[in-house]
Amino acid sequence: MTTDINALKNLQRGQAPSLRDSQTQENLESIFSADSQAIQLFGYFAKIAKIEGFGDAARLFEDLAESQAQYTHGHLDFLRRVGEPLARRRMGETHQNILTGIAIEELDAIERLEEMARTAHAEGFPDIASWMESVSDAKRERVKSLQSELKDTRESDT
Amino acid sequence: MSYTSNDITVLSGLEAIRYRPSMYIGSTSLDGVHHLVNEVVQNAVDEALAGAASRIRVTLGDDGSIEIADNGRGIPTEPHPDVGRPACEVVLTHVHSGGKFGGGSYDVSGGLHGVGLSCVNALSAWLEFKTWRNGRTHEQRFVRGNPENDLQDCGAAEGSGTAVRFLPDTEIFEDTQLDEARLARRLQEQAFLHPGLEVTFQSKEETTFAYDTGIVGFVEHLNQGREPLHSTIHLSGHHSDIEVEMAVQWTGAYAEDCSCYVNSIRTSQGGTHLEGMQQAVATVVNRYALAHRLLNPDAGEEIAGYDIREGMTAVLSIRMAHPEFEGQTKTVLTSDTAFTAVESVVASQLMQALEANKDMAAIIVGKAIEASRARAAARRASERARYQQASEGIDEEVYLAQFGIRSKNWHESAIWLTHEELLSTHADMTRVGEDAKVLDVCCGSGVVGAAFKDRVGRVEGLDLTPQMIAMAETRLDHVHRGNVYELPFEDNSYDMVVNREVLHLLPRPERPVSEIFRVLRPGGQFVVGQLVPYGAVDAPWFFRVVKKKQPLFFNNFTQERFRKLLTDCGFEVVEEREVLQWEDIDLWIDTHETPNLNRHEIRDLYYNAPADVRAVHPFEVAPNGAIRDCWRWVVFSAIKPEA
Repeated sequence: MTTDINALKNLQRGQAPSLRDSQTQENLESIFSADSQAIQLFGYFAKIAKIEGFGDAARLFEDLAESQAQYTHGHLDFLRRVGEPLARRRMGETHQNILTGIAIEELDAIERLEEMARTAHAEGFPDIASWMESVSDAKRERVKSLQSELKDTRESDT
Repeated sequence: MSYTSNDITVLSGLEAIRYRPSMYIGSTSLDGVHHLVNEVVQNAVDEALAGAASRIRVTLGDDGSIEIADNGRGIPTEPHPDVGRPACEVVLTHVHSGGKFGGGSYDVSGGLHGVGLSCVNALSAWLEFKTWRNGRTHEQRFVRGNPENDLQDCGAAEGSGTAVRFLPDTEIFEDTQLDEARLARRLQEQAFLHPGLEVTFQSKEETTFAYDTGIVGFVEHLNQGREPLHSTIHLSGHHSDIEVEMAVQWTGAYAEDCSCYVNSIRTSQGGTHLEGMQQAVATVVNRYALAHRLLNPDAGEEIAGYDIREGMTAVLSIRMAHPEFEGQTKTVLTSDTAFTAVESVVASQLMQALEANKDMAAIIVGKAIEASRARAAARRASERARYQQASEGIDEEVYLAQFGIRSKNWHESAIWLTHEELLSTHADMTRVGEDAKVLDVCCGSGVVGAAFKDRVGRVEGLDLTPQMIAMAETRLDHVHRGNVYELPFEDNSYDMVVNREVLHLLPRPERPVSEIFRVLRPGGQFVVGQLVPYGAVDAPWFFRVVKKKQPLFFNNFTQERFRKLLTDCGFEVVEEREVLQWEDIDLWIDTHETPNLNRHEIRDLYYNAPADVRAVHPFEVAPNGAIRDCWRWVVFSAIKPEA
């Protein structure tokens, strides 16, 4: 991990540091990503533990997932000033967040997942390809509902 | 705005119950009404548990009322020292009153700790209470929880007991029409749990449940229609003041069927006692298998708990003081001491039972190992099919393994297979003439082709396995053996091809569809039915449900994607018809191809389906956890264009 020399200099001059493009922003993004993944993983582990009859382990995983959710929201408390952690799009109030949500879902649904499904077909995983196509189809629907919500928030703005 | 003590509303106990009934009884649907009945039944059962009652009678009145009577000790009628009213009136009108708080009268009990009778009273349009005690009969009537009169002495009485008759309040409940079968099951269950107790259910007919076989008889009752692999094992013992009793029997079925009870209350969502039992069973079976070299310790072989529980029917009943539950309706036990007690009793006794009967142990361990291997094989089958597809081949063995076993009692493995409306919808879409020659491709038992027989000249079939061919030959004019990737027919040799619910299982569906296109004459018709999600929103959820059921599921077609498959292969789609059909999911997943872990995961997918899926995809979960899904079929009619 490196420390930006300009940031240090600013600090020495008594200027307020800027989070934008700092190593710390990158670090928050990276830990946000890791913690978000852990939430999902622990939720999945909890379900398996429950089925296997390990109630304590299931509850522990659920608790861990819940506390991880707190951490990720804490990371976002700082990041919201400089942009959401996936592609540094703007975030903040709901109207803006819906726009960002649309951008995220469109990128996933329309560009990434379709391309991934083609790769899965080419590599001989038809079921995984079909899974990705199903998720892509669902995300397109999601974009539609976000767009209609966007209209509502715009109306209430005026 | 001012906020003073005048703004604070004080609700008396019963008003509070009427104000927020769901907090006390879970819901105001029909489940809530059943809960009221169970509440009073449980009070009667508590009398039986205390050794005071031997008979319970439940009567459904023509007016919609329910009466529960027992021959227990009756409820005291003397004035209550604190309140100055008859004790029985206090029990019916005060929340958190009753004989189960102070201790002394009941060692263990299942009632809702005093919310019980007062709660039933508060939520009834009227309630009539009778008690026989100390040679006298006393009666009192209530309306919406409030006494209509004082407790009346109605003369001499022989014996003792209590009778409560009530009419669930339609102001509270959306539906008050009791499900009689469900209530009867519940009463029968109590009779099994308490040998010597006689439970009579009187509706249009009178049924009496009384068993001296206890939970062993209960397990055997549950296993009616299944093929038991050994005689029922009965375990019982104490551990730090908790009584544990369990009966267990493995059958040839795939489903796992565990019912557990705490002080005779059914804990439908399990909890610590169930977990203790599951862990003990898993530990003991693995330990036994290792000790007797049925598993290879050096290879680190181990059987997972859910593989061991495949085909296991068990009833677990524990009795303990002060059990702790999640929520007022007691569906999950949370007491840690129950885990330890059950784990310890079941582990030691089950090990003894296995050691004492090595033949039986070999059967149980063998079944678990088989389940474990089947799960591995299901995973391998899909991987292998994938590999074969990549190398442009088709592995008959994989499909033989998949469909070969299915041919046994095939039609009983799901409702859709012989669903009349679905079959006739296929046939109704016929556009070819009376002399047409039809091919039912991947015909299975031939029911789809047979549905067309009245409308066309000749129906032939095609399938892979000799078992299926033999079955289909009873329905169709002739059945060919072959696979759909390379149809063994000349170009343009059929007027019509029919098929249902196969293309989603094939890694490269465009190949068989192109083959079908090839063997059809120009102008010929392809009728094909496919199970599809309701739309894009439930597609990922639906994918997971089906894939966990069927490892060889490769294509999750939405209606649009299936249409595109047909048009991409040259067809012109001329008609699409939708058929909705209720499928019994527990039946559908009770098959060898679905590993036990997956069965649990499938149920979990239904129980925890996201709101957007629930909004578009209708399904029902019964109070006992049984699932019915309203499946959406689309039958496509496509034409091969004239040159």
